[in-house]
Amino acid sequence: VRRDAKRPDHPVSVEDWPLETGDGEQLVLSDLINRVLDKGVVISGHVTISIAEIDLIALDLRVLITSIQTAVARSGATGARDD
Amino acid sequence: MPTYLYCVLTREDRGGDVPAAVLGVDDGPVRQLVTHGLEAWVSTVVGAPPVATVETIKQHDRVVSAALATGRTPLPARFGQTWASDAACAASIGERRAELESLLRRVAGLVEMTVCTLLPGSASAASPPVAAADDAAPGRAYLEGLRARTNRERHLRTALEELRQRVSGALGPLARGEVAEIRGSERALALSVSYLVERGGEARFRAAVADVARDVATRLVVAGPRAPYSFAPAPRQPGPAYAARLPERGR
Repeated sequence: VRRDAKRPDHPVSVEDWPLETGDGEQLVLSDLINRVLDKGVVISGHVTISIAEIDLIALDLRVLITSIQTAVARSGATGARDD
Repeated sequence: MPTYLYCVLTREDRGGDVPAAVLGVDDGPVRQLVTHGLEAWVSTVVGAPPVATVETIKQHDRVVSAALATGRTPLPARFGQTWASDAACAASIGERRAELESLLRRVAGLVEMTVCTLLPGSASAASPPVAAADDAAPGRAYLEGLRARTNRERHLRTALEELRQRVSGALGPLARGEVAEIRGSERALALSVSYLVERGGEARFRAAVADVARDVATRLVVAGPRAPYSFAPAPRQPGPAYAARLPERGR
């Protein structure tokens, strides 16, 4: 099912990301999502990336999300303490 | 109610206030939390922690970008960090004050510029290889399909690595730091090379990218200036989620 990436509060889906080399805007947005979710300083507190409603995020974030889901399931928690 | 963190900056007594038009991940106001000689931009989140959607990710980045627009270079926080209160957030910042101050000194006066490109694989690579019903050796066909996919990914990675070397050779001398990343699979591989560039040097950087782009067949896209997401450190002691993720990197 294809979804509209421009809808606010809409979970990210692979269908939102046509993998076309000519689409610079999509590429930049994909890069932004990757860095906001996967980079930046982690100080402490609860890392509360909610994953239950995310189908998939572009490119190798499929692996990232899958791994976090696995880790959360193993830890028996909905948020991981990261300090 | 939980306190959500966007970024950390050096404290300035004059100016640098949060613009009123900047809203947080749940459309709430963003405010400054001054602690231990540093300044954090935070908001109060109501109810459940923010869900990662395209819109909330953009909102997080808009706040960080607004901080960058004050003239100071913030340390962006990774999406999704919350504390039970402002006091708890301030305490965590205080515990890492020396490290944060060191990082802020490193990125002061600099912005992040990123060069991106994408190499698509073949359309058939998106689905698993399936042998035809009348195939006399379905197992062999399946394995050959897997091998072909592996070869395609290896070919794409080689091409991107060659491109990365060309980009680095041209742009590295203009920058104070460089981080390269190749991500994806045989379906498509993306190359992102991020640089720490002095404020005011963005036009020169873009011109240098244009020079490289004339000599390569792949389209190069420039993003920035941004806050230095790529130059913030990884967790020193990864928690279970990140510990599980780390071995997956570089695939």
